[in-house]
Amino acid sequence: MSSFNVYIGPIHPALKEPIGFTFEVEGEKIVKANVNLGYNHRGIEKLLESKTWLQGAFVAEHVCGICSGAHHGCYCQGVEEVLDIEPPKRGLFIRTISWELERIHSHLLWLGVFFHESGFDTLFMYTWRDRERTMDLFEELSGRRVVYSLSTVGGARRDVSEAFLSKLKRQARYFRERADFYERLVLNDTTVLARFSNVGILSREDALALSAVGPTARASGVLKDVRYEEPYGIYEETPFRIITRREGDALAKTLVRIEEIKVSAEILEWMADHMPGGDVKVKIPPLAKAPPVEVISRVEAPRGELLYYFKSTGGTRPYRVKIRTPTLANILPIIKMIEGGYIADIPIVVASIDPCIACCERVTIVDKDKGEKKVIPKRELIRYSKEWFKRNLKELRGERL
Amino acid sequence: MEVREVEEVISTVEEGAKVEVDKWGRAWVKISHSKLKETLKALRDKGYTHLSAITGVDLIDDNILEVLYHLLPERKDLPYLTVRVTIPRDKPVLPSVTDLFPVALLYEDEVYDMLGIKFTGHPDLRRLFLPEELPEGVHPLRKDFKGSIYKEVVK
Repeated sequence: MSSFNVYIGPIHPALKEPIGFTFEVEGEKIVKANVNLGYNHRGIEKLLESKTWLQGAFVAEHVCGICSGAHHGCYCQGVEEVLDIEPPKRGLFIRTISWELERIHSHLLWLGVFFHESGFDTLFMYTWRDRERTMDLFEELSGRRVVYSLSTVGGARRDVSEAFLSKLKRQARYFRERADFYERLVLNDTTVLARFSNVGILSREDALALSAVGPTARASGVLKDVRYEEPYGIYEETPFRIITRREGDALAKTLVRIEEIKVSAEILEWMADHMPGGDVKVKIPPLAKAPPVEVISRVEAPRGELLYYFKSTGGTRPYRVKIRTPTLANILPIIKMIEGGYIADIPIVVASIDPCIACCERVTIVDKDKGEKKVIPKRELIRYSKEWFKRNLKELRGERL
Repeated sequence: MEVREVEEVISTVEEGAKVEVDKWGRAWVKISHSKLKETLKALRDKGYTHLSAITGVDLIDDNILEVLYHLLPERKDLPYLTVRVTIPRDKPVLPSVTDLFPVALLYEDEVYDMLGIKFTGHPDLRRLFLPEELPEGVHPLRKDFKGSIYKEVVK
């Protein structure tokens, strides 16, 4: 049977952000998949080269709207190493509160999207109602609900009160109870079980070979968690569990994330009990000078390992900043999971890695020429399209026949 | 102790390679680019199975491009290792490591896109993020890139 190409994206109801997939299908079955990126490109790496060490934090934070705390914290942690600053313990605790609260927020949001993709809209409303509570906590903690810039180079931006800590503890207990409820619901609902189990399986060998990260890898039985591998901040002293499952299908990914909500809530409770006193930050001058040094900063974002690489040649600005976001590492696993599956499984499999395309595509390009706009005349466009067609005729033929 | 173990593995491929450990316990090693594949293969067999990222840096003052391979070990006692190779700016060619680490398919595409390093042996080297219509030789993370890609695309 001859195969047929289906292009899905860049805008598609099942995908929240612009990404294109080419699926080669035989009947309903997908035999090959390919991915197209680049619809959402903002040039952040190039932009960071022109910012001072302190200014860059605000740029890094805007790489992603959901895991802004992880990006911001990772950047600040790296710059602290570059500038050789030791942030005070209380500052690190507050920063970690934002990370763990963000993990709960991100996983709840993902659960909602995932249930919505599979047509289970009641649960979508439930999880997003709970997500609202995390955002209220963020508002009280930092003054903002979404991009909260709670970390800063040298510690945390704001102090927390005792009243907030006791409220945090109460809410953490609530999140744990809700996670228990979702777990029961997922495991006892026949529709959910039928829809999620044995869909989009990623075997342990594939997850290792493709360097998958985060919950995607952990659901395939790979123990990968930066908090454990290379304890940063206060994770060395914090007691926590790492959740792994063996199955590697969409159900396992759901259960791993639900369990991680509980773990994050436990960490929050522990932190509320063990909050040290003292200052929250050390002040650094706005035009801090860095020695020539190279630094790698890694944190466990809600979606997996997030890596920042800094190179300084001495001075007030970085020479090069490299960002590797978890979604980019999890793109190849999607392709692996989707091959051999059915067209109807595409939304579930793509959503199962918790893709964040804005995160994934951050690098380069700033338009420095201002004001100059050009309108393309119609005939030029036609000429271009003819030329393009001629140039690609061979490939197109190969694709369509 | 563990660092010496890594050094031994690398010295079987390239003699005299020195592994340096920085203040935060992360290891860095510089090797010649002709030995890149053998070194990464030996390291992968030793337990460095996870390729975190590939970073390209343009060192325009020395007229070289630097490529860094960030490797994460399976064992917890081995350090986080970065393998560094340098190539001349006017002849940016490196062997592809996609057969050792399939995830390099995307990472090498990105480095090619931004810095114009050609990876020989890569099955489908193309621009990952930037428009495909960009002419050859426009690589915006090179330090001498001035101007805008919009001008290049919309002529």
